[in-house]
Amino acid sequence: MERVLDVSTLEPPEPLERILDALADLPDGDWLNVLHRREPHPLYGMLRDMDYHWRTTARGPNRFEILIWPADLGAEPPSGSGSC
Amino acid sequence: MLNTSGLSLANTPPYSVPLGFFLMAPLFALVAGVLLMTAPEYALTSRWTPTVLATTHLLVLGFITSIMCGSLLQILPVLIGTRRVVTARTAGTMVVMLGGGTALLSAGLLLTHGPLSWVGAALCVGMLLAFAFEVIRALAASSGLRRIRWSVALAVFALIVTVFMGAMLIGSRSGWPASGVDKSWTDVHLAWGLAGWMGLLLIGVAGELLPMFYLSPPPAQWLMRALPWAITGLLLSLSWMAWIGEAVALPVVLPIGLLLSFGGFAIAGFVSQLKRRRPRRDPTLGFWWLGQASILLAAVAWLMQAPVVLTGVLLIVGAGMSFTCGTLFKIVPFLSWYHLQATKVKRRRTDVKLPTMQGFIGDTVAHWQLAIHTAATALLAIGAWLHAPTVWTGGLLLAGSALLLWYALLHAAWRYRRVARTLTRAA
Repeated sequence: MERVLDVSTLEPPEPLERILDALADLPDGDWLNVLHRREPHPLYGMLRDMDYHWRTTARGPNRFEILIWPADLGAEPPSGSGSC
Repeated sequence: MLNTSGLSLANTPPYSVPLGFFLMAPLFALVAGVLLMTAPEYALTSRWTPTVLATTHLLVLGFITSIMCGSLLQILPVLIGTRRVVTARTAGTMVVMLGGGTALLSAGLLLTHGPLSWVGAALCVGMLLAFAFEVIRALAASSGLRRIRWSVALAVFALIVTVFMGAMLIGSRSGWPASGVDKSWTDVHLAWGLAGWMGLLLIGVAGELLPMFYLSPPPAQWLMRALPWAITGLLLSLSWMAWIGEAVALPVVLPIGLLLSFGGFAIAGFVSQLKRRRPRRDPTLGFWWLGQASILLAAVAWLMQAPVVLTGVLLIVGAGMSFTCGTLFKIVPFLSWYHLQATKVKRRRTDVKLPTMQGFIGDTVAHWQLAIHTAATALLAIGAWLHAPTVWTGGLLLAGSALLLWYALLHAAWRYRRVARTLTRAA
């Protein structure tokens, strides 16, 4: 199931903190859809270290969607996610 | 869809890389403040006094450029997703070259000692050209944020021109006739350094840092896109006029260009910050306001034909130092937190609680530093404008604000080191 997390109105480093907290609490089989106002480059290395895959989609000049899912769900975004 | 698969934490430089540049910077502001105190009665009476020449290079190279270089090495991978710009060893060599070069160059200018100036200039030129080359290589290999990439590229181009002109001016001072420039080229060197290198980089990163750290809407996009090109065009025209001997046009064209370009930037910055989503009392924003107000005052001072040293004080101490301090107070806590968080994730140390950003540099220190720096700017500006006896106190406050900044940075580094040790120790 998709969990949506909107961090687009938070100051750094809150977006990163909230995303990491949300991933820690993510139930098995679920994935996260993060709404952000910028592309979170610093997050990607951490996701790799934590065995997550991600896909970032620009929805506008200040609107990004970052779909994050555990590597054990496969290399492609889970079926039923907004990116499919 | 954005291609981010090649990005990793390995792109961001180690914590020590930007910090080396940052920790060196306050030393030069401290020396500059003390230098102004040693000859307060004539230190700011003319732009050509050895004290002014030495102080200018201590502040512009030792403080502002040092912080700008350190920030760029960190900001490019975070904002645009470039690869790591330089290795830690190369960055260390750059810090030594820039620090040593600035010290020798300033000493040479202060003592009117040609060989000292030459060695110092050679070290700075070598370091800055190597830095420019590495930044351009990293930008060329990146595909992120086109606007900021072009602003940074143009700023680096301005840095290269400034460095070449500086080297030729030092050659000219040492009686090297083949350098082909005379004293009047100082204006062009100054324009490329302040409006080009400092100004273009500021415009480039402000469009990203203001929305990122203050949740303000980006300053007018069309303006931020047009300004780098307009300013570069203006600087090229000025250089061309100086080259063909139309130096008389310089005092007319430059302030108008400054007014339109940087005045527009400063006003757009104010408008954007007033519309921020979470308005709260933030001392780091005070540095931006002081910087923007100083730009507007400098343009007015130039139009009113006030002493050139006044414009220099406003642009270097009021604008350049304020913007770099404001940026430091935001990015050093963020970097400290971010590197620790990355280590925590990598080592899966969920048992370790990290300090907040305030835990690295608190608002109280930033408030005090802002107050002291604002007072130093005001007293030095009054001293340069009215030749009033405020320069000694202004120099003292400049040295004091440098010491406070040093304390804040060292505290952040100490806190980082302590938590990093806990994270790397066995659970």
